[in-house]
Amino acid sequence: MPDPHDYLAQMLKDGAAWLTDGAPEGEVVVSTRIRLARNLLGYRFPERADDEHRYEILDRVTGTVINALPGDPIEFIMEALSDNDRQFLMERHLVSRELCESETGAAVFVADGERCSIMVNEEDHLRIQVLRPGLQISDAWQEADRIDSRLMDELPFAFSSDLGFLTACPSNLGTGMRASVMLHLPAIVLNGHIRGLVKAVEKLGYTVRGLFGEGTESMGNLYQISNQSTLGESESRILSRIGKLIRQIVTHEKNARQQLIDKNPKRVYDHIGRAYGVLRYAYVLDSMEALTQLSAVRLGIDLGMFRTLNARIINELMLMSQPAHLQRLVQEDLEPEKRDTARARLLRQRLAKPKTETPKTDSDESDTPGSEDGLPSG
Amino acid sequence: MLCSLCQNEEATINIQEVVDGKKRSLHLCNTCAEKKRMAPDLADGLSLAELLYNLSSDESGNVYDDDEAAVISCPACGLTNLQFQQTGRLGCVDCYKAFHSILVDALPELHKASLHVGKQLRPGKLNTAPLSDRQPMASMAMKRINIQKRLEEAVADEDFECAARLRDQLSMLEHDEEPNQPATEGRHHA
Repeated sequence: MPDPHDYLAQMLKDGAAWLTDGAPEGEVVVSTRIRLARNLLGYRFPERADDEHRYEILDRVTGTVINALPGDPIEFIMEALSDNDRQFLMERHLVSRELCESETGAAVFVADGERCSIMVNEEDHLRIQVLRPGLQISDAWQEADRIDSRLMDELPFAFSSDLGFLTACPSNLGTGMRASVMLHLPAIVLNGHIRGLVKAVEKLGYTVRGLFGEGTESMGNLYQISNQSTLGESESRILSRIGKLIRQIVTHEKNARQQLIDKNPKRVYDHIGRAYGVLRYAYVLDSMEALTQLSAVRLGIDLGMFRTLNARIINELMLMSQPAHLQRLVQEDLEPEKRDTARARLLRQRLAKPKTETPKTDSDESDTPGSEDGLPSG
Repeated sequence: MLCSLCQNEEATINIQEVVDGKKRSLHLCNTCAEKKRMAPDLADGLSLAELLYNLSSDESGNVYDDDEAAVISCPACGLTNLQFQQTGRLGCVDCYKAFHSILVDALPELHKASLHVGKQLRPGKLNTAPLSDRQPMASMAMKRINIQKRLEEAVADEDFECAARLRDQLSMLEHDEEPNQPATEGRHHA
């Protein structure tokens, strides 16, 4: 198996390659994730198992996991990674904080360009995770289901006919399935309807999490919606219901964007133009501001304001501007201040590549001159 | 007296809580009391897990009064009901049996229904044997695989006496593991 550290370097180069352009409902839905929780018979759940048994579990599952995942999976053992590398994997949504903080026997197997992964010894013995760009619920489920069935053929899973798949936390019983969809909702936030939406969605039995923040205020206008109940409904029913809900929200957001343009186009273009300007020329950017401005630019892309910039570049930049990614890029650990300058430099350089990109508006104003104006780029 | 939560240290702090109009005392050591203070609280010192897995009274209507909070623990892994209440996590599959009375109230709060209707385990797979930590299923599965391998060899060698003995072993093994399944699984290899 290749050295995981080499693979980390490759991941850095790849950016967020699996978040391809043109994904279904890509203007609003960033990604779909399906996670299945499974446990083996004969061992306590990871938190309560002793170290020896945790290693035993890892040994027991490794071969089967590698065969069940597509292609050539890479194994990352948490205790063998530096803090920064663990954070790096967390920023890519491959591991949870809990897995990172685990002392013994915790690992993640990553495959298919990060579109499939399996965590070992997190809250449960096994957590299968499948990621897809845009809204691709049934595609993601098919793959997760296939991997799960392969595992089930060789590993004895804890299962009861009443309660389904047995998990460490009763909130994951039954299907053990958590389906999450990440949405970009700048218009709904701008028009002030986000609070109402979150309340309504929660009432329907879903959890809403801001991607980078707590509660309703989310940095970068990114929201993740997941099913809460995992027991008492079949997988297909759970998935069809969340799919319906997401499609309604997508329509809602698209309408909200249209309304923004219809009502006050100049204000919208101004908001986006300024955000783009900050990213092009700022020297110091903290992660919160970077995400905020990137979100606005992404809205601009969806509204057709940019010629060469696309969502894929924005996704990549959102990832690259996070702390562990930045530190890997410059190959050293940085103080927050130095990180903020490194972040700004990354954004300036990367956004200058589609040279003299001038956001177009359909106003009667002539385009502002966007050519290089001799500012030092170092 | 020992701390109700960790059962390790001497209890030095007494926390009084009012739940359902009834007063409840928790005797904690310094460490557990600290952790409890720092745990994400929803209301007046109760965490989400505590609200869900309420212990003021159990299904049979017994109310635990003041200093008599009964401690149930899982016979397989030793997790106590109080620990479960703190973290919301179980220790092993046998906990589902041990804490059934608590879960039966909590499940309808968490889920659409309390009966699983989704994907099933493949037929013939080991799944429902209650187990203790001393007998990992892994070694049972290995035993079965080994016997099957030797059975195939015996048949190939036309040592039918040996094969018969091995079949008996196999059927006893599978009978122990799957009391409701006919012992036909595993005879046929692709």
